[in-house]
Amino acid sequence: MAGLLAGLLGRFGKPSQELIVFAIAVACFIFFAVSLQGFASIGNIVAMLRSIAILGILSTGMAVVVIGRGLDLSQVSVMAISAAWTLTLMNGGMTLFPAMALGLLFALAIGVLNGWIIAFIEIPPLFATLATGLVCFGVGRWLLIDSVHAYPPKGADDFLFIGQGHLVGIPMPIIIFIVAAVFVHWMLSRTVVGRHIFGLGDNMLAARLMGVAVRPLIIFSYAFSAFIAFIAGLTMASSVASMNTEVINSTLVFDVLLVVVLGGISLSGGRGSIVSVVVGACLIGILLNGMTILNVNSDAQNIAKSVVLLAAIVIDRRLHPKDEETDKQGDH
Amino acid sequence: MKRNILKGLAVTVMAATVALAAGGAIAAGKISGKTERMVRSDFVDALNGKTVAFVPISLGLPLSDFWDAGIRDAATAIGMNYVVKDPAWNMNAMSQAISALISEKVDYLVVQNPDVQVFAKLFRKAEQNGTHVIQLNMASNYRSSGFVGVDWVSHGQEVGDDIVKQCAAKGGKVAIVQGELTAAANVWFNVGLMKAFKASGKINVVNDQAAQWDATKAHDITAAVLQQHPDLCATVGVWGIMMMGSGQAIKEAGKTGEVLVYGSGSNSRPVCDSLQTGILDKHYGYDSYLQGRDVVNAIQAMAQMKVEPGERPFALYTPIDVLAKETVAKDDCRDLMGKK
Repeated sequence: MAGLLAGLLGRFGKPSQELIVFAIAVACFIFFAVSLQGFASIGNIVAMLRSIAILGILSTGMAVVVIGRGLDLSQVSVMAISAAWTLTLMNGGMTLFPAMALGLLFALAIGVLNGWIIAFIEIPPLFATLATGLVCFGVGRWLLIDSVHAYPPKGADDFLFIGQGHLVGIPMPIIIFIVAAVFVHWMLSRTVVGRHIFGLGDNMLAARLMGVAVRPLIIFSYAFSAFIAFIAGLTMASSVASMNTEVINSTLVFDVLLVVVLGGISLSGGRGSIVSVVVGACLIGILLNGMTILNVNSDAQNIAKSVVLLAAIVIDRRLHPKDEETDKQGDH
Repeated sequence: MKRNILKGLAVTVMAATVALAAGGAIAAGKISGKTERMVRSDFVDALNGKTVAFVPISLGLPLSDFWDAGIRDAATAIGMNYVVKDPAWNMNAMSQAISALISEKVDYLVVQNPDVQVFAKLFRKAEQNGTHVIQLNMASNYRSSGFVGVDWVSHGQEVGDDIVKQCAAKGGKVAIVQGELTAAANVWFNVGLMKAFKASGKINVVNDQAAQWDATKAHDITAAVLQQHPDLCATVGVWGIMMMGSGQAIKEAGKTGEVLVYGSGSNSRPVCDSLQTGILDKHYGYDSYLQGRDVVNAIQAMAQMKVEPGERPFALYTPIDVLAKETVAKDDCRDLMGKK
């Protein structure tokens, strides 16, 4: 009995970051629900989830990489170019599935390239993915797509369904986010590959000594992130019927990192779960939606977002202090 | 005899008339002291081999691709050199490109400003250095040699007046989707809109967030606003391509046709497609290929009149075509032009 009490107290004494973020999200939700008329309506909640779906989908891929103690700054670039190329191919007369297959192959190629550079040449992921992201965008703009925006051809309704359709009354982007989250959760918690990714993030050398094929695993995690980026790209392109490749100059990739880190996936790797991504995405969604309804201008929204990110990183550092084991290149 | 005298008189009068007319014609041709050949050779001297450089915010958009083609076609046709730099939406790259062109002393620099402030100093330096600066469609706070583009305030007012007409009787709730808060087009367009709204007193702006020229952001903002204001009458923004995102959100809410979507910008194929599918309701557009030609026309006049950079600032305002979803035709829009 005493042990159980101590256990509970321990749980509450040092709550996990996930729990803190969840509590903040609930508090924000209640605050907005009370102060803003219509905030808590089903319609608004659906619109809110819909607006964070793409961010959430990208975050599931980023989560896999970050748990493996990596970072994928090329994700948004891969998303934009692979989706825009798919649209360009469709405009050239190709049917949906071959065009999607080629787009996916392109995304995977960049993902594998990322993983190979990081695993075999041992370049820190920060620099490797920053560079490949620019290469991906450059090659895309130069060789693959004609303009900054790509548009689906007229009458591509099957394509538009991905982003604009509904399944049992729920918009498709939310469905895709849920499917991605459930799949990644299952992969991370129930499969050998998933457990190995945790091992890789926690202590790469120990994982290698245990017999984990560390290098192929790194390649896998980046390829997976690129795969998720492609899915997110299709969702984004079909939901507004255009792909704006300028999105690579936006803060989207940092928003993705914000969501990942916010929920408690440590940048030191080896910690966190998809639940944290969902919780983090919900908090961001609630904040952005509430501020949009309050008509706070977007610069002020960015300030609010960055303060939240900073707070999350500080809390992350407090809860998971840096030590020699989690130290990595590029930190100093 | 009498007949002969009359005949002689008539011939004399006719001859005198012809002589006077001819004399008058010669006099008219020499008012400027130049024959047509001389004017033509001045034209060639003033323009042949001169360079016009164009720096848009980014190529690859319908708007800037049309400008690129318009300036290129018109400039090369009269023997000018044409250079274009594509900063791909990167402000540092854009600033570097402009600085490089200034130090190369290009003759005419055509720039689309992302912001009212950011290049104002560079333009002053350019004009002191002997380069004419023509600001295209989006001006800065610096009055340079010339401005070619939309008269944004009256443009915004025209759109605003139409919204007042459509919405005054329907509750008057309007959402503005801004582009970039500090971009000239955005600033002045909104001034015009608000002028019209305030004059009517019947419009209530329920939201005016910036989507940073991004259709996805415009979509999310509009989706949130619609939840809060299901009786919204219209949503309006300064760029049609961005407003397509807004239109998608309205379509998802099943309110296409109920909530009006107003856009503005270059009349390009995606705009006409969106009008036809009802994603946009009205588009106040212009032909940016012809704006490119306007730029070169202005350069031709400046060169021949030998004005110094910034000596006599002028503006050439672009006429606006209003396209509505009920009346839009295929020829109203230009097809996209790829890279050259």
